[in-house]
Amino acid sequence: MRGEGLKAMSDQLSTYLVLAALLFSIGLFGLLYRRSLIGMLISLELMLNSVNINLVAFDRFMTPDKGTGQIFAIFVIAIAAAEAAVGLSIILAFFRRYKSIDVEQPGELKG
Amino acid sequence: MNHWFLLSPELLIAVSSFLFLYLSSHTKNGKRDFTLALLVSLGAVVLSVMTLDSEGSLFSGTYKINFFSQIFKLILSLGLFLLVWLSRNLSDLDERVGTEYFYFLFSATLGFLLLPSCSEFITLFVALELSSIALYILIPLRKGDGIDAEAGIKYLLMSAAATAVFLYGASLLYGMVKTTDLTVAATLLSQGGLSPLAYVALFLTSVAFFFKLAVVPFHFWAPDVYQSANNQVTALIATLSKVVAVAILLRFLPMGEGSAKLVFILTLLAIFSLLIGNLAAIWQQDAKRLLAYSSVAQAGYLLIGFVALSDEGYRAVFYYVSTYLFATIAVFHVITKLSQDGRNLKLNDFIGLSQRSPLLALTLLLSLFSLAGIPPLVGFAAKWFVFTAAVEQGHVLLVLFAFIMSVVSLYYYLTLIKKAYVDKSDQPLTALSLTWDEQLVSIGLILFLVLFGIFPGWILNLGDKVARAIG
Repeated sequence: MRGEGLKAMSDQLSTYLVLAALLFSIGLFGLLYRRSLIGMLISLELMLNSVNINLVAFDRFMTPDKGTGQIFAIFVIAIAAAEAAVGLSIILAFFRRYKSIDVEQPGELKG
Repeated sequence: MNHWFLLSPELLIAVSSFLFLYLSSHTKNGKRDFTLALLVSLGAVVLSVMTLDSEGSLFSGTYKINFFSQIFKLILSLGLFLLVWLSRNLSDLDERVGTEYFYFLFSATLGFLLLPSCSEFITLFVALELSSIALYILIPLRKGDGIDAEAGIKYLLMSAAATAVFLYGASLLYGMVKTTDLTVAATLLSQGGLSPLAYVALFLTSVAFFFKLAVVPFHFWAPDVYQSANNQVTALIATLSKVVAVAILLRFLPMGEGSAKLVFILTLLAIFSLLIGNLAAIWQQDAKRLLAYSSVAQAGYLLIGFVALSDEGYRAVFYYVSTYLFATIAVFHVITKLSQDGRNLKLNDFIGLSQRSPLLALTLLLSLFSLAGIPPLVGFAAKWFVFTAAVEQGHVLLVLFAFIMSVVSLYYYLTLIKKAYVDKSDQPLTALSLTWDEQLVSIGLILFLVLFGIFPGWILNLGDKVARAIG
């Protein structure tokens, strides 16, 4: 019985949309709440990956023949990787200067 | 063959950015890089003029060439030419990264040039990131004390978050219309008005461009980045990236024509941008921080044109942004000339400018008056068109508020002008001599600010064609 319930859930588009919305919110919350730069970068990845879930779910349930959503997701993954590479290298420069990756450490900019 | 010609401005910039990448691994020569960059950007201007009236659809319909995209490419390449010219003296960059600066400048501009032509979400996303990633690296490139790394990482995190929000909205739109094509999406969405979900998704997709425009509440990066990046990079962010953001919003927001909710939210954004931008600018002592808050306020005026959601509004927005670009470049021309060693200027550094160099002081005076909206300059005409377009759609109170706020803005613009013209310095003044090209650019910008303010018809006609080409 329980297995069938799970199967029914996994056959619905809304399951994936809710999951993606939750992940996106968690990512946004983490980005605002976290004080460690690495933590913020990970939260960002969470937001981007929730978009991927959305795209692939829409692709599977709305347009299963075309695959546009999957291609979009691949582009998002590739560019997110490039962004993370640049982000990590700037964090490295930041660490060399302040000996910390706490975003509130320097406080030289008023924001 | 013909297709390659349609793409020629972008191709030229792409090839030259790879050339700079190649040169960066060889001997460094600042003079050579600068000359090459100047020639290439001039070539891009010429090519954009030549392709101005062409129409076409490339790469299986994902990339559209029409008057809308080409006029923005012309404005962007003119802006690039002036920006490269401003970069003739990169004294606050390490000499080792001089060539890389041009590489990232050109790849950011390539992203900007691609954006107005994108007619599809995936292409749009790739072009957006091409420009953003280059900017992430340009901002912390400055030599020195390390506050640049702080601003760089802040900009990266906020910009990437804005992109994620854009992607989330794009994925929802894709789910609704089952295609990533913008034109198809626009026609499908406008049938029978916007559903609540479509309206949310449309707003989310616009967030990435509100961020670039530094609209409140997406403006937190602006003062820090303006202050920390070197003067030329700040000029890039203050000009080209705003023009592109407006171009994309001109594609997106008309999808919501007739939607009262969209008008309401745009009105809120405009009010808060005007309020916070203008009030915060009053307290600034750093010239670039002042410009950052002034750009927040200018984004508010631009949004009033969008609030109208009519062809007059789009025409006014086009006039506004194309003249704003040149007024801002004129301010940065003065800043880069005055700050020979590339440091940030305090307001007090402007004292006695009228005696040190009358022409430069006049450029500053007219460009700031134009930003404040004083007749007969372009800034006045721009505000006039934006306001009339909004009043025609019945937004009288909003325009009244914006008018009061532009009186407030006079205060901080006049403070800077007072420093340049009235205040006496306790130290002896050294004369600031301009070379022939600096005089030429000053006079050219002054003529632009005055002539197109008195005779706005020509740019306005272009704006009419832009408004017609949006659909």
